[in-house]
Amino acid sequence: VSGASGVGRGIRAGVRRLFRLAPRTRAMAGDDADAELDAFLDARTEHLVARGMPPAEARAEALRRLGAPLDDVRASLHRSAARRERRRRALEWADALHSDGRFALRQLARSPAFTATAVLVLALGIGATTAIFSAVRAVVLRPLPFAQPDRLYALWESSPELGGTPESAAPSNYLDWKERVSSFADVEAYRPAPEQVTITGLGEPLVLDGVWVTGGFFSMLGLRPMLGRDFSEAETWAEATWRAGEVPLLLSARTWRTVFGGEASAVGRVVELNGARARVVGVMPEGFAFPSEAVDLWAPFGWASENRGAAWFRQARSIRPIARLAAGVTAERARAELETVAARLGREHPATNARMGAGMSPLHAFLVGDTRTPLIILLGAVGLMLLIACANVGNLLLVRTAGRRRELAVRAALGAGRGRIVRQLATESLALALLGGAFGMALGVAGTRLLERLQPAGLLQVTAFPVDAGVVAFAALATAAAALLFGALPALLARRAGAGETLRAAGRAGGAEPGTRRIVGGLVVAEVAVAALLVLGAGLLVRSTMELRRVDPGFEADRVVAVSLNLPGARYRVRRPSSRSSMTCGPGSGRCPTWSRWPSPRRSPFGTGAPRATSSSPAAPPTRTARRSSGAVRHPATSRRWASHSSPAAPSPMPTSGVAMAPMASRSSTRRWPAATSQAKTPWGSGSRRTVSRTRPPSGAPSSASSATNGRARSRCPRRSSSSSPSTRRSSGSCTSTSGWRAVTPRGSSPASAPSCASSTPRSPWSTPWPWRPWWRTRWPATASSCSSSPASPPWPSSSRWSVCTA
Amino acid sequence: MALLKGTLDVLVLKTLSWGPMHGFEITSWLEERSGGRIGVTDAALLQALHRLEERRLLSAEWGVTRNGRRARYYALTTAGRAALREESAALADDVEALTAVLSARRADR
Repeated sequence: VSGASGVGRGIRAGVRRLFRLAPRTRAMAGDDADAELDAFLDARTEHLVARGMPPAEARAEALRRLGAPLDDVRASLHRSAARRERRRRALEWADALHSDGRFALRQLARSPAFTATAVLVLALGIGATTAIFSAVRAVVLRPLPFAQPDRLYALWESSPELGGTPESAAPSNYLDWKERVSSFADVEAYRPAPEQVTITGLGEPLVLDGVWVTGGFFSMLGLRPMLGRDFSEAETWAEATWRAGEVPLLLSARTWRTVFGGEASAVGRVVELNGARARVVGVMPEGFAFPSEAVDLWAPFGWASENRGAAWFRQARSIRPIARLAAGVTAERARAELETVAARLGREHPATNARMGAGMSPLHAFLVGDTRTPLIILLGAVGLMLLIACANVGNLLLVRTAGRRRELAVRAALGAGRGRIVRQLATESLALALLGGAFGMALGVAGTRLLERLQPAGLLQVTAFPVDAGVVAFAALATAAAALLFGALPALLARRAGAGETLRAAGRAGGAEPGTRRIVGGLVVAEVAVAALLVLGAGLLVRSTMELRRVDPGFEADRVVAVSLNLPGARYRVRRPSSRSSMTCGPGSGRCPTWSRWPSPRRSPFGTGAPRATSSSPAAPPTRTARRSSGAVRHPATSRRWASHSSPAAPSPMPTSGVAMAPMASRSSTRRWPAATSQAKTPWGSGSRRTVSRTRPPSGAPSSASSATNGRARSRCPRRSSSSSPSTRRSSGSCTSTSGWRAVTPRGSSPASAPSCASSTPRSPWSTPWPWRPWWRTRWPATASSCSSSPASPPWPSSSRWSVCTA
Repeated sequence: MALLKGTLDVLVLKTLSWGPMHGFEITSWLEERSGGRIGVTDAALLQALHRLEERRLLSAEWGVTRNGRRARYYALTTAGRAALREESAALADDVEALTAVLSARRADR
């Protein structure tokens, strides 16, 4: 029945078109209403007159029966008539769209091969664009989730000697900036690299990623813990924690849920963090993670206040300050003041700061920095891919339209206006685009998940690319743009051809008309051009990747497994060996150089601060890379909070013995293993302070001393204990354990248990001209034991140990 | 008699179920059938006609009356016929309920 009425409406609309009656305007609707009212009044008057009423009286009676003054009635009828017309037009339009849509779908269903091809091509284009856009949106476009994020600036140090690139800042310099630069409402800092910390006291030992921050860090960002309290300013300093006897911890919401079961009682729980007493004081809000989403907990730096005067505290460029501009201060003024203060610091501390400058960048740009351009380029590339898809579909449609000229001509001859035909073709394009868009959206969501899984950990700030309203809107926009792009051509072509002309042309068999052929040709040319562009770009990328893979990292990576171990500082005597005699690796079997930064092939060849070379002798001036490396000087200062609590003490050699290792975490995988907890516990306190005190470089030669702690630190060759990681137990291979800038020896272990490193002639892999090669040459005896090593300085948590096993 | 809200539309639909009519014919028919007891102001009737046309329950065409005058003729659409069935049933229900309430006697308690 409704179909019949639909047909009826269609016919009526057609008839109105035929006689050029449609559509009625607002004024016409008003006239209509007036005419109807007058006719009504006349009819009633006539009726009354026919009953014998005098005409004047009859007219008055008719007006009275109206129920309201004539003008009011007229006005309200105008309104209702106008509303009726508006509604009718909308409904007619919807009807036409409905019938056009149904017709379009029928047409598409009639040629499934064409439809499938076009939809698939479109879906691929739209899907790829959507997936990449979701990443771009998550990384680049999403504002930082902080209060007034545009007032936040990242501060950095730079030096022409280091290439003038933004470097991390040293704590003392940060503190001076905080005190002296009045343009900043507040300056707080965090340590950019998360550190793996061991949490015990909750059953299974856990390895979590912790980030050190200053006490006021979260309040400056405008964040409050979801539960519990924030850190206090005082907790930046060790004194506060000493007094409390425990380190305050803030948990991420994820850690709170997964580790503490999401219970409110988690706040106040006492745990052990790297063997030190720590208390959970709060839980950060859901979704907050800084500086990366992998962070599990935050703890205050806990610097010892006497470090303030130490030279190395001005050199340990390891923290990232963030400043909030004071109200009404422009970034230019703040930058100028910061530079002035930095220059003054250079005069005050010429030994350390003479050539150090300072600078600031908007925080968002700074954090997104490196990833912004590649992502935008990638988006551009998939945008081009979408263009190609559009051109392809446009081509298909064009050819198809050319094949339908006869049908279109018949329609035109039967009275369909050009606009109507264009609308019909446009509806077909739109139906195609919508189908493509729907499938594309599905592909996009799948692609987004794939991207999340494929992205290397730590490459981007975020690990999840949510498909939200913005992404859906983008996909819809891409669909509409695609429909417009590929739908416009056939529609225009149809518009150009007159009915009679087309009919005559259609009488001749076969062959597209010259116009169509020209457009198709142009499309193909454009498509090939864009495709060539993309192929070239992709080729270059692949080539670069292959070149990168060919770069010799300097060691044989085949059949070598790296294992990271967390050795809680509080439980180990930490010492800095003072002579090479203590570096004997096993009973007379060779030497065991140590390191704790993996020489990363990814970073090193480009000289961006990775090769942490140190000078060959403590007396010699440190090499450029050594000083530049934050690692060499960083560790005593900040990365080890316990180290920083230390009081200066003369390094004294510890009786060395074997080192027990426990499998903790693998560098290459994110799997976490329970830490070994068999070692005797040492409460965090004076004992640990004493032990770590030896990590302090001797005063007077901060740089070289720290390089010594770094590069020349040697440990006894580690015992291959029963608790060592599976890879270290391989009997057929040789294992080397290395620790960072210090040797670790569990108390009470007997020297007799010290193992010897399996002897083997090491392949001399250090043949690439890396900056640290000279060091290596001088350090590596030709008859060295199998304890392979790299001189790189400790980059990740100094408590990490690395075992290298060659199978 | 004052009309209940919404009843005018049903009455108009019912009137037009006898065939296409123009506005005055509709009001005359209503008066005649109700014995003059249903009084609808002409303005309200014309508004109702616009409203029903907007809802696509009526369709309208200009035509010529027996007296040779132009008039807007309204006819039920299919949707209008369905609406008449539904709404008259609902109205009958309401009237029944009203009657039951109003005719309740003390003894029935």
